[in-house]
Amino acid sequence: MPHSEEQVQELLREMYSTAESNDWDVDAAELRSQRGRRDVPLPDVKVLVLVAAAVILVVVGIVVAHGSASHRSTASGPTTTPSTAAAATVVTVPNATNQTLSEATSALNMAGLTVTVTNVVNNEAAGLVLNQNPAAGLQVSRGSAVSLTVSSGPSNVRVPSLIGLSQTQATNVLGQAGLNVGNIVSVPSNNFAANVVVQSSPGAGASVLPGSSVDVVVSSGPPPPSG
Amino acid sequence: MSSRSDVQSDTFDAFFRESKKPLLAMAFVLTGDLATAQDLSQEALLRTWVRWSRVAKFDDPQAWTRRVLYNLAVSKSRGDRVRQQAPRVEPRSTPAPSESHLMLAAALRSLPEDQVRALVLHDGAGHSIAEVATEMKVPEGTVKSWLSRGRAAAAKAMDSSESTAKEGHASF
Repeated sequence: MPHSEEQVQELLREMYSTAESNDWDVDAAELRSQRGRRDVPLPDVKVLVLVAAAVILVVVGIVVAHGSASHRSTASGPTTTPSTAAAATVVTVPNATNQTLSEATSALNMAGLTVTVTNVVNNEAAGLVLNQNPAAGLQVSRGSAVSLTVSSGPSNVRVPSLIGLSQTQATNVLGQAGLNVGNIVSVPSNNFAANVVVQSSPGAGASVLPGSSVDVVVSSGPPPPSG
Repeated sequence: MSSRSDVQSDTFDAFFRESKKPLLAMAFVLTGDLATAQDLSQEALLRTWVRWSRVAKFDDPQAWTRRVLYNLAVSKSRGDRVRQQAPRVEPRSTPAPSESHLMLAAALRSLPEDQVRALVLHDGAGHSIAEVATEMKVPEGTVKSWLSRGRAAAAKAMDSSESTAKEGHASF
């Protein structure tokens, strides 16, 4: 039996009143609270967080394991490897030359070495290490001594006797003594030939610092006849 | 002093109160099953709330929600998986669907949304042609045309669905 339009109207009226009398009891606030609750696929976020946490844990684990492993290899005495055992008893000599004695001593002591000092008179500043033995870079037993040659500074020299020497000879003699020729003054002399040193200042035997200058008086020969 | 989101909630709640019944009626005539109708109405309203900042500015926000609801009903009857965010209604709390309601609902789902709405407002709710025309913002002639075409098409669809049902193919 075909349906009539009247039947459609009838059913619509019936359904409308059914819907009207079956108001559902969800209120707006309750519905609003659903917003976003299943908006984002939460499992995916959880998985991401878990994966990130797992990665962090693995990385931390590797770092910790690595750290404790290297700690063991350096800390355990009886099972020390040959190379690290050698490191404990053999040390490399540090450089001490051209340092002050206190600097050099500090460096050598820190390297596990002792120091013996030999002072020498030298034109370098007092306390400078001039030489060392054994040399820097050599492997020596821990606790062995390193001999240092240390300048005690320049010592005074005595002015040699220059009187009677020619000016050239006097310059050489002063040079050999570590002294320099200072001012050269010519004076007439009846007793000394020309260009012969008649006097020095400081005089012969005087104690002066190495490198000091010694002035010399040179004869210019007999004075011209007066009158 | 109310924040912007409070204002949003207030306007939505007002919209919810006035849209709830018409939407449920629409959903019911499109599904024939009250539990499904409530599920879909809630879902349409929740989707409206999610986009409320935009939808609230429309001339007729309920038209947007109704369109969502219509699409949900048609999709669901086609067997499309509707991603439902709103909580589901407990089916046992509603009366069991009647066969004639299910049949009419299936017939109405084959009609355009405007025709369904005109039928719900006039034949269902009992509004006059003039009231429906005002409500739907179309001339009365259009409403009359929608109503007669809608009824005829629904009756025809019910005839064919009845013969299909007799062959053992249940719909919905």
